[in-house]
Amino acid sequence: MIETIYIEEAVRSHPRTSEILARFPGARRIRCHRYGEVFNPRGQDFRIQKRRPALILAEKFKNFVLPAPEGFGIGGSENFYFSHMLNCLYDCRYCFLQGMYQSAHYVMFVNHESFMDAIDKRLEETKESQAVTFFSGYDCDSLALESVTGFVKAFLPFFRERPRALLELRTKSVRVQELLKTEPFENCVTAFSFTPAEISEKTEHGVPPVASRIEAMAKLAEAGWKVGLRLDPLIYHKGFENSYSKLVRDIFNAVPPEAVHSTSLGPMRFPKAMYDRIVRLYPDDRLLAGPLSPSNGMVTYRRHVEEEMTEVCRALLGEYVPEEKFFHCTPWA
Amino acid sequence: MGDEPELKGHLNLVVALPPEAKPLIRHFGLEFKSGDTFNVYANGGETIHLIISGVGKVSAAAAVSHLASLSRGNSATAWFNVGVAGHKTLSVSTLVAAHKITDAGSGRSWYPPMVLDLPCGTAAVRTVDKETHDYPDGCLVDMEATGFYATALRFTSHELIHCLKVVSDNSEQNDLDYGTVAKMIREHLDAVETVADQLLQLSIEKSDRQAPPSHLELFLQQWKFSVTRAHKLEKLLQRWTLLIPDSDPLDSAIPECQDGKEVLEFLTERLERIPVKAASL
Repeated sequence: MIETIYIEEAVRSHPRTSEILARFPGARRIRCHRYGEVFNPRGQDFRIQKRRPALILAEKFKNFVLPAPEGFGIGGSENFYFSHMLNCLYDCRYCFLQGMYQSAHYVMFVNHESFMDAIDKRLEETKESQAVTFFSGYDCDSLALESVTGFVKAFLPFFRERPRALLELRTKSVRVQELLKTEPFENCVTAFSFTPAEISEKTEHGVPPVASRIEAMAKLAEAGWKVGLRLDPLIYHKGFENSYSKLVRDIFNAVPPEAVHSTSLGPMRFPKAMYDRIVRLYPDDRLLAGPLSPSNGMVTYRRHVEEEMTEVCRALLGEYVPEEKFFHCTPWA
Repeated sequence: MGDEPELKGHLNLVVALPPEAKPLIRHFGLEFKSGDTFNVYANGGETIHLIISGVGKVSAAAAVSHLASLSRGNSATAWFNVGVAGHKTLSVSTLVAAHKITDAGSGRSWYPPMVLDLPCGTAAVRTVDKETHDYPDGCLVDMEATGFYATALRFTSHELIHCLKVVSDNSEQNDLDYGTVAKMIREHLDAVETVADQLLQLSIEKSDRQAPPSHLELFLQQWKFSVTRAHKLEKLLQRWTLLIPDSDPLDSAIPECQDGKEVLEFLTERLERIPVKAASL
């Protein structure tokens, strides 16, 4: 429920702003000059704000589409990411967003068309023969706030017309209605992130249950959409072999392996400064108090733990998915 | 009194005028504490302080600084400005919380996050340097909010700073009678308390979050640690408290460790061996 909406001067008259405001007639409306006045100031408490995040409607002016980190990809030769939104509906304790931004408010950039122009420009800059991937769920969940943002509704027709551009929608949501209403096309992958149910219940606050997400994934697959599977991050715990084994089995009991476009495994890693910020916010969290240690500026599980988990989960996935569908798409990996 | 646990939340109230202060002093059971530069009042446990700043944003800023040093507050202290303000159309005596505070001189704005259950509506506040009967559309007009907010922000986070204003004058009734200010504030004491209670809760929560692990002081007395090692020790003890809550780290470490370096190694090694169970995450 959105109780407060900040509206940037530049988008006061934007049609998308009017649509969103109409959805929340009871919300408090506050004008601001630029979204950064609300979102960026230091001295904000992310944890307290996360209980009642406001929505900020803003215009993005530059850096619409950025190169993905080196090695980050799901098969395309060029990889970019774009963020129509900053921050996420959910509250996962391992998420880097809680250490990334000063504020927990949701920033939504309403000028979708500017992102589309920038995507076209990136496509023009690459060769006709190159497949180019655009990742959308880096700074937010691609689907979770669809009823507010209309992001999928706006971007599916755009990507359908550009078969060389592969769109990855990354999500933990079950809001797949917009996709199900649309005729599937090849160059769109909805990638679902999972941790085992017992881990999800403890660390992924506000996220739909694993079983519901598997169901949503299966519905998309059945409708003919390509889906992706992201075991990201891999969370170490006693008996992880069994819980990941059950997770993978449950997924492939519902989702035919041939519908899976790509899989990836993501180790739990934080830049050291970011980890410290998150621990300051959640000093009472056991996940963050676990066996993580600093190494080369990152905070991670010890190498042998990380390698063991990766090896086990890769083998589990390997029973269903061929080697060529394994990719690497985790920041800082 | 001595057996009562010390309250960890702190609230500092800032008001401009004695008539605004009077009902609050009475309501919160505050007593005069000092009057060197500003008149300051506090409750018995010194968890709530009130300062009378005088009129104007510079006075408000100075009062916040003064109270920050005088009170036992820290970065978990909440700050609350209660006062009167003008508004073009709102009826006199209407209570409003500030959702945006703009300095008329510089044009700079601050946005108190709307994280509380507010007992009233909200509006933007415009802080002016001189008393005026020119009321911008939809805005409250006052003379202290930006001085208060910008200065309080040096001591705590946005969420713990709020302004509550009672409309004292409007375009039809703009002859502010200071004699009625106390009555206006008194009418809204329940609402003031509602906000104050929530701010105190946030203050307690932040205070808990920032509290050092309970054994830290004992470890620092037992062994010598450099600043860097003491910092590491704090983090290890914090983890210990979460992961092995039933075990006393000091009792465990004393027979094993000769110096600070050994303590860190011992705690690290013990924590490494704690199995991570999904159910206990």
